[in-house]
Amino acid sequence: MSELLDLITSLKAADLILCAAAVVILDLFALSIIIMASREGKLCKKRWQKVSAGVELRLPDADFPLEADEILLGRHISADIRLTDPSVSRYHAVMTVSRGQWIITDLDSKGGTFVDGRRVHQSVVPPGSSLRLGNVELYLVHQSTPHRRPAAGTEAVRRRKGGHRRV
Amino acid sequence: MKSIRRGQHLITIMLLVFLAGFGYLLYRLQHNAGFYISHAKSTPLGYVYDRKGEILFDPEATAGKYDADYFIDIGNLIGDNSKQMTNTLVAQNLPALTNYSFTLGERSDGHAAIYCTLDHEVNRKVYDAFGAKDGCAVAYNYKTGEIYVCFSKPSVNILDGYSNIESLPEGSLLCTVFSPTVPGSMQKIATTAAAFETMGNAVLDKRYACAGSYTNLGGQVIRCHAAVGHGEQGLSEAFANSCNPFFAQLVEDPAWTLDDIAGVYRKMGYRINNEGEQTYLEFDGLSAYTASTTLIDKTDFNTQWGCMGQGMTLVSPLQMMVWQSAIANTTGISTLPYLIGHTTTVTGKTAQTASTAFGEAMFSEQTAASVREIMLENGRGHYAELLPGTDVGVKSGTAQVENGDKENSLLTGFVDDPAFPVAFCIRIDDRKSGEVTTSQIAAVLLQELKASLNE
Amino acid sequence: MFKNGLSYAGSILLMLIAHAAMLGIVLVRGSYTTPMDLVPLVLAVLGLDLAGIIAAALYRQMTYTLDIMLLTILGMSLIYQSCFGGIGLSLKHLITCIAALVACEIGFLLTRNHEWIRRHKPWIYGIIGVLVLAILFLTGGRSMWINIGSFSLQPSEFIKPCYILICAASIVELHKKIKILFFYVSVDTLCLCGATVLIFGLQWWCRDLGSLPTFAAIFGCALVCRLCYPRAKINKPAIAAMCIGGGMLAMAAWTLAPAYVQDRLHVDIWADQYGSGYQQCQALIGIARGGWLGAGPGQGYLHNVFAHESDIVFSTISEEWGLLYAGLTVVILLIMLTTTLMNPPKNYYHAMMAAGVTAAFLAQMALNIFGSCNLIPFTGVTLPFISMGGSSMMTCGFLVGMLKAAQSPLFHHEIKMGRKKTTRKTERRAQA
Repeated sequence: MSELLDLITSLKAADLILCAAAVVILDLFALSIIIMASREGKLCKKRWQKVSAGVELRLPDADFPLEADEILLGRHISADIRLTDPSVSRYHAVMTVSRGQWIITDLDSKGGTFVDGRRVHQSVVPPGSSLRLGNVELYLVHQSTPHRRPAAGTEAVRRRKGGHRRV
Repeated sequence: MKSIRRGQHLITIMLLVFLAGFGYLLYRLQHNAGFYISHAKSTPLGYVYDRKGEILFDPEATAGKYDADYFIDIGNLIGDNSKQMTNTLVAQNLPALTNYSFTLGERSDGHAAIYCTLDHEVNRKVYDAFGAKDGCAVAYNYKTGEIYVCFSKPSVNILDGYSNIESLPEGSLLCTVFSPTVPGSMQKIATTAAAFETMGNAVLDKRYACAGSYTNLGGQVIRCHAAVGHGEQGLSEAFANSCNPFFAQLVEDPAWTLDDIAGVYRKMGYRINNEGEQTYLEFDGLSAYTASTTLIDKTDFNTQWGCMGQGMTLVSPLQMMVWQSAIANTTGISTLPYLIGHTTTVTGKTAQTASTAFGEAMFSEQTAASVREIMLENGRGHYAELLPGTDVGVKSGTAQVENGDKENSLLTGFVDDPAFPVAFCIRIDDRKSGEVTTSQIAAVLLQELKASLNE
Repeated sequence: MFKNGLSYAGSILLMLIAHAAMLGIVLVRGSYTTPMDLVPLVLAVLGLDLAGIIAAALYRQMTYTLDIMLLTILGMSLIYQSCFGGIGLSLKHLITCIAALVACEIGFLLTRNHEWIRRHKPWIYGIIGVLVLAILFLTGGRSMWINIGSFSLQPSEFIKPCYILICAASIVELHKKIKILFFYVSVDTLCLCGATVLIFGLQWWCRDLGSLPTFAAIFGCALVCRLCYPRAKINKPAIAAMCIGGGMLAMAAWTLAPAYVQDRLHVDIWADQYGSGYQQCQALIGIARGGWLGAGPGQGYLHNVFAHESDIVFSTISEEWGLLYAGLTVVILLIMLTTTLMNPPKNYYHAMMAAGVTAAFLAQMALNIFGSCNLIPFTGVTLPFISMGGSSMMTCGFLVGMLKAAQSPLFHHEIKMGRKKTTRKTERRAQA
C-alpha cells in the first residue's frame, strides 16, 4: 500500500491520469467487444433458424436439434446422431441443409435409408416426414411441434427400445 | 454438432492453458524483478551498514569521501558491485541492495539497505593488531550466530578500483576465513570429541608415555614438538601439551576402530577419503568450506598425522569456530553463523530479519561437556590473560604448510560467559618466533569486542 | 445485419478513444524533439482506423467484431512499432498493417464457403507443394528466407493457413474410407500425414525449429479432434499409442537436435549474460525496468537489442508502456480468439478451422512471450500482429479472416438434385 502511495506521489499527475485512462478505456473496449460478440452470436443463431428451417429430429423419447449444416447419422462413436441399433451402419447417412431444405444422402448403408417409407439414395426431407435408417424410425419436425408419444406396447416401440442413444 | 462442440472444448482448454501460463508469467516477472534489475548495467544501490551504523559499502564511494584505507579490512568480505569478486556479501545480495521495486521502478533516493552484524571498529582494531603479518580472524556469538568480526589479510582496497589488481598479493580477493586451511593441533579437538563420543569418560583413565618421539605400530616415527618428551600423561595434560605421541597412541588404542573416528568426523562436517561431495556452509549467499581429511588405517602414519591436523586434513577457520558453539553450549549442536541482521526495501520497510538457526547434532551433550571442560582447563592454565576475570576455553595449533617451509599459528576457543558468548578462530600465516602471537590478537579481539558490545 | 448498430458504434468509438489515449501518452511521456514529429503517426493511425471502418461498412457481412478488433490491434501495433528508439512513423509497418487487413478479407472470402474450399483441397496441397519447392530452391541453402530486392519473404509462414485448411478437411472427410487389402483407410488422413511429414522434415532441414511447435500444435489439435469423442468412451488404446509415439518423437528430437538447440535447452541465461543469454537477459531486465506503467514511449533501452521489434517485442512494449498495458494487449489478442466461443461455427469444417487457427495463434504467442521471458527455450518466432514482419502480418491477417469466416459462413451447397441446384444469388437472398 505504501508503495502505491509513493508511486502516486512520485509520478506526474498527467502521466498517472493518462496511464489510468488508457488502461480503463482498453478495458471498456474489451468489454464492449465481448457484449458485441455475444449479440452477434444471438443474431447468427436467429439466422441459423431461418437457414435450417428450425427443425429437429425426433425419436419417441429423444430430440436431436440440428445445429450444423452437415449432420452425420450412424452407429460410429464419432457420429453426430448416434443410433446404436445394429441395423444402422457405422456411417449410415448424412443430412445437409440448403435454402431451408434438409437433404439426406445415404452413405451406401446396408440397412438402407427410407424417406416416408421409400428407399432413397438422396432425397429432400420436408418437415413432418418420417425417416427410417435400418430399423430405427425418426421424424423431422418443427421445434414448436408438441411431442407425440406413441402408445406403449406397440411392436415398433419394443423393437426400438434401447436402440438409440442420445449423444 | 458433436465435432463442433469438440472444437469448442478444445479452444476453451487451449485458452485456459495459455491464460494459466500467462498468469504465472506475470507473477514470476513481478516477483523476480529485483533479481533481473540487479543484473542491469547500472542500477541505484543502497548502503551496507555495520551493527553501529557505520557504512561498510557505499555504491558511490570515492577516495575523497572516505579515508584511503577505510574499507581495507572488509574489502574481500563485503566487497562491491564491480563483479571482480563473487563470494562477497554485496555480490551475493545485490537484489536486496537494489533500490528498486516493480511498482516504483528505480529510485536513487530509495531506502534499500543491508544491516550487518559486523562491528567495523573492532574488526579494524584486530586487523591492525596483525601488524605486518597476514592471516585471518573470525568471531561470533555462539548463542545467536551473529558474526562480530570477520576478515582476512591481505585484503583488497575497493577504493583503488582494481587498477593494481596485478600487483596484489595472492589470495587478496578471497576471504580466507571461508577457505580450507591446515588446522594443526586444533584438529585434536575433533579427535578428543571422537574419543569421548566412542569411549565415554573411560578415555580420561587412559595414560600414555611420551619420550619426545614414538614409533607407531606401523614402524613409523611420530615426533613431539618437545624433544625431551612429556612423560606419562592423561588426556587433559596431553591436550594442553598438544602432545603428538599421546594422540598417536590414542588413535591406535584397541578400544575403538577407525570407523568410530570417521563416524564422528563425518557428523562434524568432514569429507573423508574424498567420498561423496565436499560440503559447504552456506549463509547469506556466502559459502564456506567445511572440512576434509584422509583416514586409511589406524596404524598408518598419515592417518595418525591427519588426526592431529597435519598432512591431508583441511578445515576452514569458520568451521573451526562453529565447532566451538557445539562445545560451548554443551549441546553438541552447532549454531549457524549469519552476517546480515536485517534488510530494508526501497520504501524503508524491513524485508528480511535474521533468526538463529542450528545445524545437525555432531556429538552428544556428554561429549560436548567433557571437551568443554578440557578446553577450559587448558585456557585457565595457559591463556588466563586473554580476558582477565573470565574463563576462556582454548586450543592452539601450529600447521605446517608448503612442505613444512612455513608454519601457521592458529588459535580457537570460546568465552565461558553467558553475557558475552563469543567463539573465535584466529590464524597468523608464516609466524616466526618473536612476532605477534595468536593469543595477543585474541586478547585484543575479546577485550575490544566486550568493550564495544557493552557500550 | 445492422440491427447491432448501436453496439458497433460504441465499440468503434471506444477504439478511436483507445488509440487517442495511446497517442496522448506518446505526447506526454514520449521522447521527441517537437510535437510536429507526432503528426505523421497520428494521421497514419486515425487514417488506418477510418479507412478500415469505411471499408467494413461498404462491405456487408454478418459479423464486424473481428474487423473492429483487428483494426484496434493494428493501430496499437503501429503506435508501438513507431515509438521504439524515438518517435517517428514506421512506414514499413504501416504498409504491412494494410497488407494484413487485405489478407484478412482474402482469407474471409476464400474460406467462408466451406463447400467451395473443400472442393479445392487439391489446390491447397498444390500451394503447399509450391511453397515447399520455393523454400528448397529459392532460399539459397538451408534458409527460410527468400530475398527479393530489399524485401524478404518467409514462405514457411504462408504454409500455416494452408496446413490448417487441409487438417480441417481431413477431419471432415473422416467417414470416407476405402479398403486397401484388409484395412479401411481414409485417403485424406494419409495425405495429411504425408504433408505433415514433409513440412516437419523441411523445417528440420532448414533449422527453423521455431515454427515447428506451431505446426505441431495444429496437428495435435487435428489429432485430438480425430481421436477424442466427448461424452462417449474415449479411444484409450489410440490415445495411449499417440502418447507413446509422441513421447518417442520428443525423445528422438531431444537427442538428435543439433548442438545449438541443445545449448538453448540447457542454458542458464544469467550465467552467460553477455553471451548466448543476452537477448533474454536484456528482455527480462527491460520488463523489470518498465514496471507496471513503463518508462514511456521511446524511452526504453531494449531498442538497442537485436530483434527488439520481433522476437522480444513483448519485453520492448513492457519496458516502454508497462507490463499492465502489454498484458492488456495480449488479453485483447485472446479475446479475438474467444469470439469463436461466443458465436459458434455451424459446420465441422469451420469448427476445425477455428480450432486450428486458435492453436496456431496460441502456440506463436506462447513461444514468443514465454520464450523471451525464459519460461521455455527461446525461439525466434513472432508475436501475432505486434511483431514487425510482412510475412507474419499477412499470415496472421489471413488466419483472422478464417476465424471471421467461421463466424460468418456462407451456407451454399451445390448438390446436384435435378432442378434444385442453388445459385449464389438466391442463396444470399435466402440468408438476408
